[in-house]
Amino acid sequence: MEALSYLLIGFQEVLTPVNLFWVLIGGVTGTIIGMLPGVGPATGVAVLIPLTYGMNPTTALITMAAIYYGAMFGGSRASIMINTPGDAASIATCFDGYPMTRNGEAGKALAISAIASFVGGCISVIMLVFLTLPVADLALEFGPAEMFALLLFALTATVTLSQGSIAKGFVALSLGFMLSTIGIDAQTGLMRFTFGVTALQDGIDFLVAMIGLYAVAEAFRNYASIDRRYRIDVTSIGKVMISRQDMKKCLMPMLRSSPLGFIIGVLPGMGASVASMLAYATEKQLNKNPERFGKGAIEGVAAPEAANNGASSGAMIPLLTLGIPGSGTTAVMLGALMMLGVKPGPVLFQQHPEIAWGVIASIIIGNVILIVINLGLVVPIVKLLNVPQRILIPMILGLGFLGTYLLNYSAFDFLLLSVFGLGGYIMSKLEVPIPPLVLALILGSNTEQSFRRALSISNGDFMIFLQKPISLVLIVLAIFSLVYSIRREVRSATKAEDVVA
Amino acid sequence: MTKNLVSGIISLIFGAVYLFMTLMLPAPAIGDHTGPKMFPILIGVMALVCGVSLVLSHVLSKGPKSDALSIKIGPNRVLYGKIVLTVLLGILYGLILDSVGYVISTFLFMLLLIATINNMKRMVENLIVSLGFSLLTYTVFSILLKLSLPRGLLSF
Repeated sequence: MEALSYLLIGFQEVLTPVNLFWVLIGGVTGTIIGMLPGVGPATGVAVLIPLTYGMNPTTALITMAAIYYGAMFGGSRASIMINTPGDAASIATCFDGYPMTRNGEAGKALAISAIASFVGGCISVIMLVFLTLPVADLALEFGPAEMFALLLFALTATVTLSQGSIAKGFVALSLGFMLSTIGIDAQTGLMRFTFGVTALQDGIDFLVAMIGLYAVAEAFRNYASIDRRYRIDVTSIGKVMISRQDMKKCLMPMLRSSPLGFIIGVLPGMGASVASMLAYATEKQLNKNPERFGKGAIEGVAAPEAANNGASSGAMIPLLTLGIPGSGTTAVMLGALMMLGVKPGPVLFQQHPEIAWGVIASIIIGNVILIVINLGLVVPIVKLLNVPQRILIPMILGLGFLGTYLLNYSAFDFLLLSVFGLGGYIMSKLEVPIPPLVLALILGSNTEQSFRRALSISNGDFMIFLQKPISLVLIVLAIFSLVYSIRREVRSATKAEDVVA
Repeated sequence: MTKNLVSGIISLIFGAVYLFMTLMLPAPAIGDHTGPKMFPILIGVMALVCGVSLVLSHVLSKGPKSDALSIKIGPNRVLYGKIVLTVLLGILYGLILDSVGYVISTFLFMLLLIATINNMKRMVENLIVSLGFSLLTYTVFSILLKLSLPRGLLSF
């Protein structure tokens, strides 16, 4: 019950009128920006970070958490109303959410998605409360060798567990690592890869990189469809509520999908997109009338929504206890936390339990406030989908530049921001994934430092990584996932050639 | 040209340049056992390996290439022009921000940006949006959140 008393401390930290006000603001703005078509949650969180700059750390943290959850809630609004998912995590919501809208049941779909998200959030936050301490305690035992092996495993998994080319994923990883080594070397004071530019001495600010790679690049991609306009008929939404009968239908799918989402969310590289797809497929198989799925089955909205919110909380475990984000959005969250001077990891739970548990408490409060927002204010919020892209996209860019300036008050960062925006655009043209780059950039210096510390302990003997049992297991897992996914890729390539021949 | 080939070549170039720069670094007398060069060398090698495997997969794959990269400048001239202009505007914005001040430079940046994106159409709407954006963000961030934004020409 240690966890519960800590949670109480967290609540005491968080429950002040000022904080609640900001949870509300963060939740609403997060929902809005996560909902906007063409703007994913990673972009949403990245451009809203400046809101937290002037706040004290606790208030800033819970505002960030509210923005993060708001963006996740918001992503599915667009799936349901206009069939354009804000990100991969809400693709599965389109399958039945949009057909429901076309059947005139938009209000029902919006309501069940808010309720399912809430249920998913609540169940997974309970699991989060009881799992964090054991994981953090375990992580405290980690020496540099184990830490390096863990980072190696997590980074490999982000590439091998995601869809797309393995080699391109590793190209993105190497680029991220390269960027992370720019600046003064922490152990020797040697200046590396700065090209004589003073502004690069402290390294590349990863928030600038993230705003560029996500927000600016996303804006560039939207330039091609700038004249597109979505029209929402608000009067056709109807009442945002569901009947008792619908609730009965959805109860079991929600209860099954939430823990499923949570477990998948804990794993690196998997995250909310895999969780929601898997939950959708599972419920379709278990359902007595699977042919209804895809035509507006309410369970088809409940399952992925519960799962992706479960995964969002699951992702908090590696993020808070190990300092390892599993996706682009959580990487942006980690960047924001580090900017606030909070360094997630096992030590955080020992030295600043009030902050670590404050974040967990704010996840709970955020969930409660978000269901209120998403049931009560959803109609006016959804109206914003009518704002044309030609106005929206410049605003996202403007917010991106403003956020970058407020980071360091340095105009040089605008150059970096533009370069990263261009780089992100080119990467998406080449189908090179962006998350591995972002994760390697943010985790790179930690990876290098633990690598070097481990080798100092062993006097340069690489066997240290194989002699420690935990590190051995993690390295074997990393190699296994790599070999397995390369074999899978080679097989599917030869298959494709057979078809051609 | 396929996406695999181009990404492979880019990876090879980055890997080679990075590896070269790593090897040119001086070896410091102090510091840890492994030194500041070992880790970057491994990264450089990783980039080279990825580059080689991407180029090889392009060369070895038979049949029609499914991932042809279309970067035709002609039909996309306007799109690429807008992107390049945005980058230039962004850099220019950075150059004038401190001296001219947030409100005016942001208004100018947004106005030119929106005009670029919208092919100079609807100038009245553009004017209202950019003025609104610059005033609203200044109010929220500088007045309400008390973050310091440069006043520039308006500092009286």
